[in-house]
Amino acid sequence: MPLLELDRLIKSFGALRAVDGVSFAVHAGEIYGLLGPNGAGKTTTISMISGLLRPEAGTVKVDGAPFWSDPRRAKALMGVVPQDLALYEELTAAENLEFWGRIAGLDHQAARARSAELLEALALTDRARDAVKTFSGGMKRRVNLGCALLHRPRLLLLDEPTVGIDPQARLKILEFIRRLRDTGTAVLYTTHYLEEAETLCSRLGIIDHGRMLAEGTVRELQDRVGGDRLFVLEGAWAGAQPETWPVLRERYRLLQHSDRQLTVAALTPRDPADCLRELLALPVPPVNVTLKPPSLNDVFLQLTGRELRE
Amino acid sequence: MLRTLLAKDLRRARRNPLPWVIFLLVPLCTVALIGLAFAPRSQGEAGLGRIRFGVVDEDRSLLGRFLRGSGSYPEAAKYLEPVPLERAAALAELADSRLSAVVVVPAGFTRDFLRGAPVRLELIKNPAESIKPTALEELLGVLVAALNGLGRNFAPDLAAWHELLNRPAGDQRGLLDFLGDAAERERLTALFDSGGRKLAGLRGFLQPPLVGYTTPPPVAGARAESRGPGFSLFGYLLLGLGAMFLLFLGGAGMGDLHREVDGRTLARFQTVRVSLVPFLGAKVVFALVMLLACAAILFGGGGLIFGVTWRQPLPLFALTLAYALFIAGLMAAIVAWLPDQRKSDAIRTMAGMILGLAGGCAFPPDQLPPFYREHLMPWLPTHWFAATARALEFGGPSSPWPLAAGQLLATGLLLLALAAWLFRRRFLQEGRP
Repeated sequence: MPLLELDRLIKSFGALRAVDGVSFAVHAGEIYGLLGPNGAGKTTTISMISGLLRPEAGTVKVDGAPFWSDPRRAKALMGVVPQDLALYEELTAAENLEFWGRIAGLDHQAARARSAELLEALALTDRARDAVKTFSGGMKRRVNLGCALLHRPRLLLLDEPTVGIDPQARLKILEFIRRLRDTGTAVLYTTHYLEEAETLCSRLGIIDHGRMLAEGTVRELQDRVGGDRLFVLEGAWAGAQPETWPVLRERYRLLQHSDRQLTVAALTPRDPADCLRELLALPVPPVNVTLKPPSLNDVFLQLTGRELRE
Repeated sequence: MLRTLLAKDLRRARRNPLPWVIFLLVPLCTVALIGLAFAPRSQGEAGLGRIRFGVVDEDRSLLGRFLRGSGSYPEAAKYLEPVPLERAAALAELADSRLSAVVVVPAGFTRDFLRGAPVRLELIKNPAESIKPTALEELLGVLVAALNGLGRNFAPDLAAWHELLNRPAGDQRGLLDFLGDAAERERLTALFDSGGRKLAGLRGFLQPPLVGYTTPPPVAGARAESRGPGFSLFGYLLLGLGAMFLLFLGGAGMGDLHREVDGRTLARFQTVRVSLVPFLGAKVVFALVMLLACAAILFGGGGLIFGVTWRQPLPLFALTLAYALFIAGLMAAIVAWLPDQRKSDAIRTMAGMILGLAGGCAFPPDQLPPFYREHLMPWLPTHWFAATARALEFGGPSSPWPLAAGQLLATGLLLLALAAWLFRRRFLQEGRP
């Protein structure tokens, strides 16, 4: 049984439908990535799961029980790491952690012990007694993460936890999340960083304009685009209309087209050498051809017609 | 839970005390400035101190002697310190701000006055001062009115006196020779007689006096505040300004809710707990604790600094507690009503200012227009607190303190209920705080 299960979740703000029929499930010991550009509906989805927003339609089940039938139990099972830093800057790292531990229901001793344990795990012990306002962005992000873990949640919701921090700090956080997964915690991880999603998540859901466009493992999603490889053609195609060229129309999927570059994938598995010969014989031949495996950005490109990085 | 939340807020306030310190220092400094400017410096000395002014008697006349001697009358000496000087020296002292004004009796003043010709005294005020020169000008106005009255009623006699006192240049007679002359003696007698008759005619106007004044004891229900023997201007000001600045302090305390919303800590709380009531309740308790601590510093510390002895500390504490609850309720209602922090900050400050000033916190209420004082001000909670606290400590008419405390308590609870309703409505509408 999944620890978290969403079924056709809907939420609107006025005329804007922020989440439109989103469904997915997250199991224990799994990191499920929700990938989408800013404004796709990721934070609204997390807000509905954590009880900050009530869905208009659909259900959220936590450990098999609908969230709103027993929100107290559901909240006790989950830890939420908001996208914004929800910390008291005047307090020290230890005080912040102890405070949220007490709010989560731990007694004073337990909150203190767990706080010390988390500071150690997050490599913050030496700064435990310093005010959070003196911390770097990466350190604040780690404290922000720690504040959701005091009560040892079985389900962890992470809303873009690495926004705005340097690569080294990001690696530390990602490593910590992997360790949590290894302890059996179910993790829902929203991000718009493709590399993070590819390396961290066991399954992914791609969301845009409130709709779930595709779901599966990274490999499954790559297969949707075109198997193992894509052909990136460089040339001078200003004014050309490659979508009308018969070879491309019948045997390839045109993923991206600009004045200087075309990205295509074969519709059926074929020998790359055959493909190369065909592509070099296009009406306007390319000056350079590169082969590369499809990325999640290519998946997003194929699904939405635009790049995730836009 | 409440203790954890309260400890967190108190710790944060301790780590960032500047907003609280500012709101504490402003009323204390204001009281010190106003009090030092207007309070009596010692027993028997007038509030403004003595008015030191120069007398330049270029006429060498009776009026000049009168002005110079004004400081020797015990009652006048409390207020006036005349300094006889030559014009140049007087102007030099005035320029150095050692005099508040200079009164010049010009040469020929007495002669022209006795002749019935128009005459002028000269008053040169120190431009660097405002109150003392104006007070002296008023006093001089009284003297001029008296001289005018004398001139108009005794004009024929004055001319005769002038003729008598200013004998022709060739007349070298001594006083005895002069009085030995029967004709001159008869003239002099006639002048005394005429003056005496006019004064006798005036007696009916002067004695017994038709208009007088008295200082009756305070009447219950009267608005004018009497000031008992323990009256302290510092204490009076401190209670009023303290009441006003407690509103600002309460605004700062409850305004912390905006920081919790903007900092997403309230949302994080919502992801952990089901009910927001403990969070909001703790914020009200925090505002109350801070208000009471600040009131203790303002009234207790201020009392020590300015030497004010609070005669009714327990009723004053009870009144302050009820007032603190009212402030917490008012500020919570404003914060709940206005989600936008900048708007809310502005409205809370304005509300504090308006309620403080309109409630008579910053100045004596009996200076306000009667209609406002009698029909509008009694509805203001700031007035309930300030007037009752002042009456408790310094005497004067006011509601009994338990009634005022009850009114403040009831209003505070009502406002808290309104704030809770507004918060609930806001969260339901927006979906999240």
